[in-house]
Amino acid sequence: MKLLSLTVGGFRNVAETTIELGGITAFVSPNNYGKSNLLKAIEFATIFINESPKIRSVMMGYAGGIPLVPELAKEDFRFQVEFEDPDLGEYRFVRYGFSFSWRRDDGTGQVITDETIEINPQRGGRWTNYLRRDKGKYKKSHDTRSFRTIQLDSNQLAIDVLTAIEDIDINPAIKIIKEIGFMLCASIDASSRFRPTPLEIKDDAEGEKMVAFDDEDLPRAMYRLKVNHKERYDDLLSALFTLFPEFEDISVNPYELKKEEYDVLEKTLKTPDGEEDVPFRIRDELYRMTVRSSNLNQTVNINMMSMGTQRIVWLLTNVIIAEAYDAQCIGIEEVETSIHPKMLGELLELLDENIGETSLLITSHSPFLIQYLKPQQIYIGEPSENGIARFKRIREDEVEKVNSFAHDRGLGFGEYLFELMSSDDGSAILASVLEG
Amino acid sequence: MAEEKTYDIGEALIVEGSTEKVFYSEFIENRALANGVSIAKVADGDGTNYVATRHDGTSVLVKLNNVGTITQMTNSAEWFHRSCASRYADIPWTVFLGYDTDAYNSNITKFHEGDWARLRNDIEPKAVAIIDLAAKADIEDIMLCNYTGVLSFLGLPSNTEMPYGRKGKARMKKLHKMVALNKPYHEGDKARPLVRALDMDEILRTAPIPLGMLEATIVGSSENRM
Repeated sequence: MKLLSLTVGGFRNVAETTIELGGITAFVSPNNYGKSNLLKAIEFATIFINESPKIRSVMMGYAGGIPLVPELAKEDFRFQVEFEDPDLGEYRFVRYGFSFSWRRDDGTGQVITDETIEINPQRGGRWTNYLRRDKGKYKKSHDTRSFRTIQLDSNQLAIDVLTAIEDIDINPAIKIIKEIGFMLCASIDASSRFRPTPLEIKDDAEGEKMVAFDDEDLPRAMYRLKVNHKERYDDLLSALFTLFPEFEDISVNPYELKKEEYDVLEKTLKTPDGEEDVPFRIRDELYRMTVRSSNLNQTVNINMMSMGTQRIVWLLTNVIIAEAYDAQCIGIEEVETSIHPKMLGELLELLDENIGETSLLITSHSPFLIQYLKPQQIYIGEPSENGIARFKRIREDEVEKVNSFAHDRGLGFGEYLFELMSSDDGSAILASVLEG
Repeated sequence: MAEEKTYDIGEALIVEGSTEKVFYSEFIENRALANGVSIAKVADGDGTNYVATRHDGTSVLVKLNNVGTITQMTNSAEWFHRSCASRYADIPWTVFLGYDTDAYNSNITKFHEGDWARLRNDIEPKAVAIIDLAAKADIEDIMLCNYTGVLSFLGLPSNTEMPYGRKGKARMKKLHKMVALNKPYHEGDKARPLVRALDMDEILRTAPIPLGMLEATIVGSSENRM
């Protein structure tokens, strides 16, 4: 399954924004514009789809998402996703969306206001509507024109209910909708991921074997990748050896706490009577990543390396994990943090090589990074006087002009974009060349 | 300010990246040696430069520049104007542009469609001739024109099938990965040992770019060669 586009709006200061997906997509804007809010809006929407109706009601009152910008104050939260899956046959292209009203001060709102399921055998052209939520109707297949009745509570999505009905031809598409996930890596400092605690929550049996995305214990995630997806683990190693030519060997292995450390820790988990009073236990195994470098006279733990090195390891590991588990979309904030410009091109190439069908959304403040992407991959924060965040690309017929302007100033495309974002005159030029 | 003329001809190579620079510098040295032309590196502080002295005594100043990580295409034009045409104003300059005509189609690339045409326009006023060493091929595709040489360098069997890849770089990476995970393909100066091991005669014969024209500017016309 491949995501084709996402539309989201009505979250914090984010107005409706549609993003065409494919490979790496970047969002650029000045600080405090709303890049992070956009990624969080997408994450919020995918969580909403998969939550229970009860939790959805809570989410519709989530203070951290309610728009505070006056112009958006009455806006519903909106989300739409378009994807393609050849295995769906004539239901190959799917467009699913929903909206809800936020809780209002007068107690109104907190209801799902719309939901659409549209399907098309090809991209472009006319979509067939399979749901009329406002009328409580749905269509089970393209063979029929008649709609059946469906009753939905105000916090229920049709996709919650339809999958339970057996003879609906569009159910495989609906199941895919419910599998859509967005994984967000917002941590700027990845170093904590290499210093895990030796404690874990008791009865976390399910967590035992899974490779977790953005695992708080990155060496553990790497080890599980090694055990469960050796080929992808080798891809990770290959990428790291490419970026760090001085690395001669990388190892990820389990180890146990030393007895004296174990005993001290065990004591702290017990009451004076010797009872275990906390919901934590000491982990059976810990994990470490070590590196042998031609520059060093001994093998070292990765947590002794620079923040930038750790961040790169963290980035690549998560991208490869996401791809190994068919995650459709991941977001990474400020990819360039702690990374020298010299490495950015190669890092982007490696990310691109390893994301497979996964869409990677990144935010950036780096003209050097942006330079490596095509204009259609770059969404720019539309200049705004009222605090509203809306992201658009440069119009296709204006790209050559922008390239020429950049060239006239002796700047690269990425440098010029940032130049435009940095002045009032530039903002006016930018506004004139953006889509919409 | 223009320097005193000390050379007869100037050749400037503007290439895409550091690997290209390594390849062309090795190619120039190799062809000079193969044709008995004396060649020496010139340390004038601004990058990779050579002086070749042809059999007829013509001295050729060769300067190489690549569009680097931080620099952009417009910097390359500036470099030519200041470091070549102005500094050595009394000698005619031929410029070779070494690039992949398809580079802007790659998912990740710092080049945009039209970049090299704009560069050509910028340098045309001061260049006697501008020659494209360009094809729908990256520099690794050029290197792979001597496929047996690459295999031999890597220690892979001579019957190793060329791996699939959109471009030479992808294929080169896969070939290196076949040898060992911790010895990946590296670009730039780290590719020099591989480049040095290649059969430049074969590459000259089979590459889809006019390397013969570059050789000719270094070693002179065929009457003047050894």
